[in-house]
This record gives sequence, structure tokens and C-alpha cells, in this order.
Amino acid sequence: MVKITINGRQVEAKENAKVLEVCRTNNFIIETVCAHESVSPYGNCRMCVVEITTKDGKNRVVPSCISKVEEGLDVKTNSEKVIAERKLSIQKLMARAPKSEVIKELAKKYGVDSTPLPLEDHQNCVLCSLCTRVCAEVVGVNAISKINRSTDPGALPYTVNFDACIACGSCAEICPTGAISLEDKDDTRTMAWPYQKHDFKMTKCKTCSRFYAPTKQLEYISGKSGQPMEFFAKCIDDR
Amino acid sequence: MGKRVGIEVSLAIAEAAKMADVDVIAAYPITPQTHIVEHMAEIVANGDLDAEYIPVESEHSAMSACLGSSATGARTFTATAGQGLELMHEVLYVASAMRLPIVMAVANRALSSPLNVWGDQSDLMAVRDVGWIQIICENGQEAFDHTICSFRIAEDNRVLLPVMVHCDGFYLTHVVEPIEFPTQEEVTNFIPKFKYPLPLDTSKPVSMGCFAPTFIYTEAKKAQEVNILNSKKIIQEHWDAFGKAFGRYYHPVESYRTEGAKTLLLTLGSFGETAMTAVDKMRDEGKSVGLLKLRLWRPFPYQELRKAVGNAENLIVVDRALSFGGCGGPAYSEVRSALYSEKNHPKVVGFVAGLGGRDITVTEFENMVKRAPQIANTGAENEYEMFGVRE
Amino acid sequence: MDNIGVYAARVAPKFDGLAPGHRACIGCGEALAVRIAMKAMGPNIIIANATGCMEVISSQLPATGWDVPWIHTLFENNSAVASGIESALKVLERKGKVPARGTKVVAMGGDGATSDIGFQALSGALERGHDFLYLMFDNEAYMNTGIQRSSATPWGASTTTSPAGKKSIGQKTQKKNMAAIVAAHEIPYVATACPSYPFDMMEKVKKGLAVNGPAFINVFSVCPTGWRSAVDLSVRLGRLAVQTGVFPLYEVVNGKYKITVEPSPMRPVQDYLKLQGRFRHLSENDVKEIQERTIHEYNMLKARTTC
Repeated sequence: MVKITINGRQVEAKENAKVLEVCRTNNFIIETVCAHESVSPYGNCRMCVVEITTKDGKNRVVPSCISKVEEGLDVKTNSEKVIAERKLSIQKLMARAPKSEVIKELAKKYGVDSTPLPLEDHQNCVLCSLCTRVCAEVVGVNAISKINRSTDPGALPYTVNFDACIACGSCAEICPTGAISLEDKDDTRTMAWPYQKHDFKMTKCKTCSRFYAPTKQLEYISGKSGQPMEFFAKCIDDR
Repeated sequence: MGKRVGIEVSLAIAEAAKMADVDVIAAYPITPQTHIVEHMAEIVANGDLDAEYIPVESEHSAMSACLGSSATGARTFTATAGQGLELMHEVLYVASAMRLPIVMAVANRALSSPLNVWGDQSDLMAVRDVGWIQIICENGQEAFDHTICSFRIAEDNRVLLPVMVHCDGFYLTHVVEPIEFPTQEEVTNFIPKFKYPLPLDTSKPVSMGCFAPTFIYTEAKKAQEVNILNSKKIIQEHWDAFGKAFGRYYHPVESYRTEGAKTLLLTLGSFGETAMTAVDKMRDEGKSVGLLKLRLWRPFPYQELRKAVGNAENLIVVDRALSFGGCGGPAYSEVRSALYSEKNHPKVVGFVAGLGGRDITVTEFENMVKRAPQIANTGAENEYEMFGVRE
Repeated sequence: MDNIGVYAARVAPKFDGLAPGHRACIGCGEALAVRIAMKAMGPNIIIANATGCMEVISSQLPATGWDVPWIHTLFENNSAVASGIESALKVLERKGKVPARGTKVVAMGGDGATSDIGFQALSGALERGHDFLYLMFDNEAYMNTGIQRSSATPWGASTTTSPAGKKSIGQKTQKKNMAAIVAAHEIPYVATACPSYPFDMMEKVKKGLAVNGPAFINVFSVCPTGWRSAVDLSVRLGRLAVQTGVFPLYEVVNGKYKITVEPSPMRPVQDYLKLQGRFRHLSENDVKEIQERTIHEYNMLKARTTC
């Protein structure tokens, strides 16, 4: 364990823990866009920046999601420097997703009303890569990738491989700006990502006739778990 | 230096709360407390005080909102009367047990039924055991002073208890009196900034009001009892400080012309002033009569009372509340039991008078003094007498 | 978002505001509901809890299960306590006495605390427009005191104070429609939710917390002890209540009704009733009556969504 100070309060932290994690366990609130506890840190949105001073007096502003704690570290989560840096980050996010309600709300909180950067609306996508990370690290199907991403206007922020996708909805759940959506209607689940859309077939429960899960997801689970597909002919409430 | 202002006592109480810079007021209107909360609302509406006024839908919610507000660390004030105090009853226990320093002005009023909105102390006596510090005021100046001083007492970290400032409904709340107003600076210097030690704060979560099974409940109550008993000397400490700052000194039991008095009257609240006139008159006539006024009702000032009673032969306790089917008015019972273990205690006589706003006149106090020796020697039928009943 | 599960569940917040090790009965739907709500709300909240199961199972001295500021005072006053907290935060932040952290206030109570004894305090707080979220954990009776009927107990259910007997069917009155009553206060957000649909519920809790002004969510909380159902069926019973139309999931955003989980195709209510001892005494005719009423009420709700 190491001892660090956050906003004047001394707390204990596990060695090698990330500063953001420690702040959050001690109820210091830092709002972020690209950080999520279920996936590896990425250091992209820079909303999590904090001002740190090491034991030997080095002072800098760093993204707390990828910075490790060390003995005697002094952390300020709301200093002037930090706020200034976050305002800059918000301006970048605003340029990428000018219509996003989430970003607008964040900007309002920090009193940022406009961005000097050129607007490049990617249908609410802020390029945080939470979807690619969750698809690779949590689901394990690697259906969303950064292939073909470029600075060209109109280039896709992410490419979705519809063959690999099992329509589990994890990316829609984790997307911080709601740029990914999921809709079930009768026998079809429609997943929509920025500039891309695909329909998936749903499986009908033999007993209650409800379309209860995407067929591809059931096939994937069947393959991983070894349960035969007949097992999935009924929904969880009728099994 | 402040100034002397002619003002209705209710408004003065509200002005006192304003000078104490309260953060939250949660109140429900009830006669005769209305002028206090109306003025409070007006002060907030005019921007003369930066506070939140919560116009709640009942007294139960008024006190409940006060719990939440005080627990969050806001200086909290409310006022009520009679039925309202009764509706709050169960919440009052929580405020004291959770040690929330709420200050509440109570315009004492009779209890239904039959409906009666005028002053007596039935409501006060019904909340005797709720664990609050209770101060009974005699005049407008005291009501003003104790409203200010009570914030300092309540919020002292050695005390942390809610305080009720009792003022007789109408007799006090609705009269215009000359009141010494200190300057805002003097008041600001007198009441330290409020910092509740463990407020509801997301950076340091606490759980308040937990569930206590048998194995720990008694200990919790013992701690509460020790706390309120210990508060007595701290209350005096703050009253002394108030005296030093503003020149008006207060004590748990006040004595008036008691030197060598054979008979003592004991009153609570505004009737003390009438009793003073009566005592003056009787003393002029050569009668050996004095007056005690009980200011601190909880914690009960046993030692102070015993000392103040001295060698008097008869002690007449005038209650403005009934304890139905009990052995005398509530104050009478307590005073008598406080003196019981004294070697040379006086004969204690109880009268219940002034219910539902009925006046107690100078003549009536004189008659009580005349009647007392008879009861003291022969005993009354029911341990006490209801005085001035029309038959 | 009601029909994603397996994988998406893994990205649900790991924050557990209510620590494991509490004293709830096995299979408690309310404890599950609170945990899910806490995940959606995160640590930046203050809770005012009414007396009831939740308070008793989580706060026995000298321990506490709460990892957020939490206060319990009495049975009927949690809305008023929440009013006080909200007002205090507002003024203290305005006066610079506490840092502005955007802390939200949440009031929690059971169906008894909300629809019976605390009804007045709730109505008052809603009318005054305090910025707080009220979570009513609805297990359809006074469970903490031993399964006595409340105004939220459904028709025909046998409880200890509405027992089924030779001359009684059990509860003789229909369940009080709290969501509709609250919606009549014209507050910005009202919803019904059920922990058996955790994503739907988390989304609603987040929405309720985010709106400026009062929000109310009626959370269906299965109680195996009080409903005399098997402890491993709590999640299923919640799903069946929704799929039979007994407890439809919907939200009312600024007065606009929307059903969030369509029970289609709708199951017969018998699927739901037959798993519970509290309905065991019902005759075929009684069940038919419940079936008709359920469909009638669902159609009424449906009609509201189109106007």
C-alpha cells in the first residue's frame, strides 16, 4: 500500500493502482468520457486530468486513468490548471460531436459555450474507442475495429464486421454519447453505428413465442459453452 | 452598539434568526406562531437573508425537513405551536438522538379539544421528555436574546443538541415591546460559523439513524442522557458570554426579591412579570413573599433550584398545563420531586391556572399566596388545585 | 435496452453502494433492486431512507452497508427529509459553504412508506418541486412487520391482515396506482421498473436522477418471504409480472407515456400467479377476473401512450 493525498485528504492505495481508480474509490468525483472500469484505460478524452506533485516536487497535469500512484503523491482534482485543461478537452469533444447532448451537458457544467476548432460531426461519435475495447476485451469477438480510419472527411470512425458481430449490445450499452443504438422489433434486432447499420435475426421461444435473443449470439454462446442449440430453443423463463 | 426598537415579539424572533444567518427554514403555519414564519418568509423573499424557506405541508414534515437540512450541515430554524408541536412529536426524539442542532421557537398554545388557539403550556409539557434543551422566555427581549444565543449553544460541539425557545402564545408573540437590537457585527462575532462534525457529504460517507437492537440501544440512550446533563454547565457558559457581550445575564433559575422570603411563588414564562408586580405589592404590604422563575426546563436545574429555594417555608408552583389524572401540574411534580430529598424542604403547593389563554391577575397571585398555607397544612384533595375555575 | 444480457451485463458499473453481507432474506428482490439502482446512481448521492426492510437489513449498529451518505429517521417522512437535504445543499453551495459537487438527493421507501403512511410527505415534496429522485420499492405489502396488507397489495392476495378465508378472498381492493397518482403531480419524470430488467431499470434511474426537479420510480420488488414463492424464482417472477401485463414497464416523461418493455406476446396471468402461495386459494373464476382486469388496465395504459 502507498499513501497519497487527494485534495488535502490522505488516503491509502494499492501499489500500481491508477490515480483515477483511487480517486473514485474514495468518492472524489471525476467525470470522464473514455474511461470505463470494465476495459483497459486509453487516455483519450483527457477529461480525467489531475494535477500531481511527486514527493521530489515534480508538478504536472496528467490523465489520471493511465497514471499510477506512488508514495507521497499529491493529487488535486479540481485545481485551476486542471479545470483549464478540461475546458480544452471539452472544446475538442465539442468539435467532434457538436450535437451530442452528453457533451453539451458536460460543456455547460464547465461553462464552455463554444469551440474554436473546426466541427467534424461523426454522428455523435467522439472516437473514444470504448466500443472497440469492449468488443475485444469483454465480448471477445473483435467485430469493431479502427481499420480504414483516416483524416479524410466522410471516412468511417470505426468499421464493423457484421459477420463477426453477435448483436449482444455491449457497445451500445457502453457508448458514452449514445452514438450506437439497438432496437428490437418482432424477429429483427437492428444495430446502428455511425454510418453503418445491420439487421440481425432473433430466435423465437418455442413455448411463449417471444423473440428473445439474436440467433448469432445464441450460436456463439452455444459454441463457447458446449450447450446444444436445442437448449436455446426456449427463453430463460420457459426453460 | 445596537438600538432599541419597538417591535412585535414574533417579528423580533424572526429578525433574530435572520441575524444568526440561518441557512434553511422549514415551517408550517399555525396560530399563534404565524407571524414568526410569515416574517421569516418575507425576509427571505426580499433577499435580506440568503436562505431556503421550505413551505412544507405539515409540521411533521417541517421537523423532518429540518432533520435533513441540519444533517447536511445547514444552520436550521423553525417555529411551531400547540397542535403543530404535537404532530412533530415523534420527529423531536429523532432530532435530539441524532444530535442535530436545530433551533425552534415555540409559541406555546393550548391543545384541542375543544379547539383553543390561545396561550398555555400544555404543548410544552407534552414534549418534556424528547431530549431537547428547553428554554422558557418571559418577555420579548428574552425571546430575541435566546433565539440568538441558542444557535451558539446548540452548535457547540460539546452539546450538539436541538433547542426549543418557548414563548407564550399571544401573551408574548403578539405584543409589541421595546427590544434592544445588537448590530449584525456583534451577532456575527457572537455565533461562530457552523460546522457540523459529520455531515452528509459524498466525499466522506456516513450512515445516520441506524438500527439499534437491544444489545446497544441502552448504551446509545445512556450516551444521550450524559450528553444533555453535561450541557447544563455549557449553557451557562454561553449565557455568561452573552451577558458579557450584550449586558443581559441569564440563569437557569431567576430569583426576584427572595431574600428572607417565607413564601415563594414559582412561575414559567410570561406570567413571571405579573407575579413580579404581585410580589412588589405584597412586599410593600409587609408580606414575606418572593418569586422564582424557571428559565431552563431541560436539562432540569436541580442544584440551582435547591439553592434558590433556600429556607423558604412554602413554595407555590403555578402550572399552565394539566397532567390529567396525575399528581399535580407537570412543573409542580418535578419541582416537588427535586426538593424531596432535601432535609429542610419547603411545603410545595401546586396551582393550575391560566389555561387556554385565561389571564392570571395580580389579585389571583395574591389569593394563591393566601390559600397556600391552608393547603400546605391540611393538604388539597388532589394534591393540587385548579385555580380560577368558574363554577 | 431490455433484451440485452449476457455480455452487456459485464459492462455494468462495478460500484456497489450497498455492500454485500446485508441481512436480507434469500432471494430478496428489493436488495437486488437497490444494488442495481446504486450502480446507475454512482457514489455522488445522498440517500434518505424510510423505515422498512431496507433500513433494517443494511444498518444494524455498529455496522453499515452503505458506501454513500445515508440517513434514516422515521417511517413516513423520507420525502420531507430529502426536501431538507436538497434545500440545504442548494443554499450551502450558493453561499460557498460546501463545494458544488452536483450531489443528487435520493429518497427510498417501501410501498407502505410511500403509498400509505408517507403519502402526504411525498405529495408535498413533489408539489414543491425539490430536485430529488424517489424510489418506491414495491413488494406489495408491509413485509418488514410480517406481511400485512398495504394499499399496494393486489386484489386477491392473501396477507396476514387480509387473509383468505371462508368469507374472504384476501385483499378486497385493487392495487393503488402510485405511478399515475405521482404523474398527476405533473413532475418531469415518472417510471415503473423492475430489477428483472436491469438495463431498463438502470436507464430509468439515470434519467430520473438527471432531470431537474422531482422524479419517481415505482420499482417492482419480488418478496419470496411475503409472496410465498421459491427463493430462486425472484428474477423470473419479475419477468413474468411484466410479460403477463400485471406490472407493465413504462415511463412518463413530461406527461408523455411510453411503454419501455412491450409484453408481446402477452402471457396468461396464471403463469405469474401459480408460482406464489399468496394467490394459491384463488379459483379459476378469480384468475379469470384478474386476467380481464389486467388486460383492461394494460389497454388503458396503452391508450395513454397514444394521446
